[in-house]
Amino acid sequence: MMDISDDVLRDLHRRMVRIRQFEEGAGKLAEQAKLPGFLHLYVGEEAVAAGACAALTDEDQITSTHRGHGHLVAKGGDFRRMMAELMGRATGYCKGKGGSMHISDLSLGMLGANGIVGAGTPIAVGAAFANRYRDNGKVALAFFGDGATNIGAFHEAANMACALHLPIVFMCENNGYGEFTPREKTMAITDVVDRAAGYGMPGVIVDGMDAVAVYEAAVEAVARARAGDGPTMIEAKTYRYYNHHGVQNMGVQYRTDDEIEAWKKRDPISGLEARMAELGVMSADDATAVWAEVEAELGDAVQFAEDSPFPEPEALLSDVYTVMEGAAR
Amino acid sequence: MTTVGLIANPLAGKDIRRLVARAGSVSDADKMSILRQAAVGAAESGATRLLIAPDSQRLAVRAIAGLDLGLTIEVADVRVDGNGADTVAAARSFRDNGVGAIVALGGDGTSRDVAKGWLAAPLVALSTGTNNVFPQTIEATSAGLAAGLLATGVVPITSASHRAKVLHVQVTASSGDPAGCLRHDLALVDVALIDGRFVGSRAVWDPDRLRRLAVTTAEPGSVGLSSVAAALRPVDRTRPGGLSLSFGPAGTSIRAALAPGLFAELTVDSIDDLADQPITWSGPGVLSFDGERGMSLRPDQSVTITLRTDGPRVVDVARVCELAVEAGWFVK
Amino acid sequence: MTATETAVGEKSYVEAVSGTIAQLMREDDDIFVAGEDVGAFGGVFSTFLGLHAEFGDRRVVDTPISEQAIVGLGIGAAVTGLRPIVDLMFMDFVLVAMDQLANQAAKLKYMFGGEATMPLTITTTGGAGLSAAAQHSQSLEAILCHIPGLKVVFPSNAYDMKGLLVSCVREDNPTVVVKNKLLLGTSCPVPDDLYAIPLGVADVVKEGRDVTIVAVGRMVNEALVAAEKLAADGIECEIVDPRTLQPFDTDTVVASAKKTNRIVVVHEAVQFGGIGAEMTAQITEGAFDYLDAPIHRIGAPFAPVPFSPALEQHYVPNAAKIEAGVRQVLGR
Ligand SMILES: Cc1ncc(C[n+]2csc(CCOP(=O)(O)OP(=O)(O)O)c2C)c(N)n1
Ligand SMILES: [Mg+2]
Repeated sequence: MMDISDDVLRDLHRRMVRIRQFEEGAGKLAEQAKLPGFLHLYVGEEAVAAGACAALTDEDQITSTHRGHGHLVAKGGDFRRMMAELMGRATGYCKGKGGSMHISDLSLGMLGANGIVGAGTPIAVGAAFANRYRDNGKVALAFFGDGATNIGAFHEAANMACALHLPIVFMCENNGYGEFTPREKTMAITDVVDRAAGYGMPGVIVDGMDAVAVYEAAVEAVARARAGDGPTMIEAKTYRYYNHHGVQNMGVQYRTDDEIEAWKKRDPISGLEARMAELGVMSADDATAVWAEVEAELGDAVQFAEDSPFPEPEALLSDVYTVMEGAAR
Repeated sequence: MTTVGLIANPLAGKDIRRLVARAGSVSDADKMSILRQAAVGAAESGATRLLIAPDSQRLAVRAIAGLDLGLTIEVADVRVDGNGADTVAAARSFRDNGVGAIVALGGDGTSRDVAKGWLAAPLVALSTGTNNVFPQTIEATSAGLAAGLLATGVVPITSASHRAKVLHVQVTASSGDPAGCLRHDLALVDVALIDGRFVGSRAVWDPDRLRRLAVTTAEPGSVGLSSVAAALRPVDRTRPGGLSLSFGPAGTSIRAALAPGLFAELTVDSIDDLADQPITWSGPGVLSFDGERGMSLRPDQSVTITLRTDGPRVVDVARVCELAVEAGWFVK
Repeated sequence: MTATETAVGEKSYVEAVSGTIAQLMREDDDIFVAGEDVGAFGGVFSTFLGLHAEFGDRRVVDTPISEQAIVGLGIGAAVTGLRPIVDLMFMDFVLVAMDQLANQAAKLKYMFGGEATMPLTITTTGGAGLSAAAQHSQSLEAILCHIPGLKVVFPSNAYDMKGLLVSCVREDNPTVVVKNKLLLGTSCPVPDDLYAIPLGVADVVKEGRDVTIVAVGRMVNEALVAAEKLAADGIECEIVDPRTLQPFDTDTVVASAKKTNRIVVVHEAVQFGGIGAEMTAQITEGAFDYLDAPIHRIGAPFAPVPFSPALEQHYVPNAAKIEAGVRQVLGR
């Protein structure tokens, strides 16, 4: 039970505020029809990405999901390149080729958002394998949703990671829904973590609306992985405020406004801010300053993205393969 | 109508102590089979109604669905928020709806929540949690049966139960003026004051951060904070009195099992008997109740802890069954 | 289109799916629908809207996100006598289910010496143009057509959707119905009563003497636009919509080639190894001596589907490319 230092608290807070602001900003742009394609917002789930990524080093790797912006922001993603990508610009993280669902930054160990549910988990297993192979002390952490634990790839990955005893953390974001279908229609269990024992790894539940709780569990799981003690599953109970994709909030068919309101009352950011104020770690003014700073960062990023050029048509055919010196084309 | 109440805490047995210690996990499937056994036992007793708590995962509801028990099954009409308050509300509703005895599945924290809702609850606590000092390992079938035999009056509760000790906790502003009480709470096994500021992942496992401890029970061989006290001065759950400890740099070093599979060394600075005299601790820190961090205490706040033997009527299942044998109940 | 006495109304491509399935389900209790979000939500493209309200949980099943098991569910149910319609939300997810599709559904009958029948219909939605990027935009029909045992239809309008869907569902072999995202909202006159368009029969959408455009799926609509422009220059295009890609109606296409002597083949999928390559080969085999110019193929470039509209607009074939292709084979 480590003592959560003031620095860690401020770090968790900043990571969450950056995610929230980026996502709200993206949502506004989507409403103005400035973002092409699908947009899966992470708002409400910030504590999970922030708590998990704060427990990782910059060198550790993560794999992500279709709801991936929060993961990249938490890993230290650059707003400018993220926003440019969401707008399909040449200056974006993926040069406009990937968009929201494929946003990635290999230099930060962020091995990609993913359009295929569950597909990130086997990739995290591979990264963990490479880490152990090279004995580099790095850990891989796979983010995935509750719905993703119903797909074969997840089960194969979990089993293989345990069989090979790899340095990996399986971080489940259980928000109670896969798209528009409640979890109880697609699983006979409620706690995803009940599955962990079936593969032979410990599994724990944490409050996914509490960054400190997520962080505590992630620190332990990452330490286990780094020490060679094998995989861990963490299930964070959380909630997405917006619709599966897009910016609709209240008034959806498949869940009640009351339910949404109840979760919003447990907002991870305002909850932490209140506690930090109480502890004297962050005054209301300090908090406002963080929001303002991040808002400025966002404004700059949106401006940068809007000023950025679209990719040239020739870019269509590049990057399909790595071009090797002297090889036949 | 003779009624048995059934509660399962879906959150029990799944917290971070599977990582920081070596606690095992209890799946929902396991909990549901225990619930079924208890329900069948209750039905066998001749009780006419089973009142079940609508936990957030509907464990009890799902477990009982499809069982042909031949008694009335009702779901307590209480709000479900997915936290400990659900158990508190269910226990309160059991009290108000004529429940003769409760079977509750969970750990120490679950029994505590039952007591918060119904202090004098007639209780059979089945351990499906992480730290189980208060609930004991009992066959669920027999637990259900015993609860039923009490509810139906085949066995009088006074002959097969003891009153549990309770640590009543009052949080006050630093003046210590009870009029300024900010919050009442209670614990059935232990209350601790820990260095730190966050409830976070709730469990307590770091020996270096323990400052104060009060226990109702200190049984050698148990696991958890109370085992620290037990290492120096055992106190049985059925005897009056508890203990109050403080920790510090100097004092008696002991080793104790702080969590399942986790021993730690602690330095006990003082250990005192705890009778009906209240003790007072002051913040800052985090208060843990029955092994789980529950609230943080500001520097200007303090807590007053009073030990009283006014808690749940803890059912001795074996004794109930013995008395039923004596009454010739099993002979049909 | 044959004249019918039944009422004909304007219906969308989406309604042609949901309405037709409802009609088929009313006739045959062995038909059920399963897939992700197909229940109360009605499918993410609304192609199953209203089915759950009418037929309930028994016959309209929300599945977990489990593409292999979704197809497997269909296979197992089909081979034991039901007539399943299962949905793979995006065509890209066909790849997730490929073993069940290609190694199981397609081959069971043959491997079992003809013993098995597999009245399984798989629906899926493909196509680019919505900035859905590389994993939500693909056109993978050629991969499916390569697997002996599967039949594949790709309706280009609501009328064909209804008729082909009826044939697929009534077919005793595994069929894949490819829907196209940009066609979902398009509509045309569609008879209210059920009617079947036989599998393996192409439709000459428009007759012409100068050039044949063989267009797949949504490209039929683009070809019509191109043909109109070309008509202004006195170029008369014949447009052939194969409708079914497997089995492929070689006769109709070859006959058209013999008539016009010039061919443009167009589909949205990647050109290399696309279904157009097979068509080109068949036309060459059947009408080599009649061709006055090399067959011109149009498809997507050899790259994944890009996200940015700035790139995607150059990626997806369109009327302008078809027009240019026609001018090229005509040399004017
Ligand atoms: C293989 C696959 N099947 C289906 C989908 C469509 N889809 C996208 S997100 C999603 C729900 C995922 O649910 P969950 O894993 O719980 O993540 P959440 O959206 O709740 O964060 C589905 C079904 C997909 N992208 N990939
Ligand atoms: Mg989910």
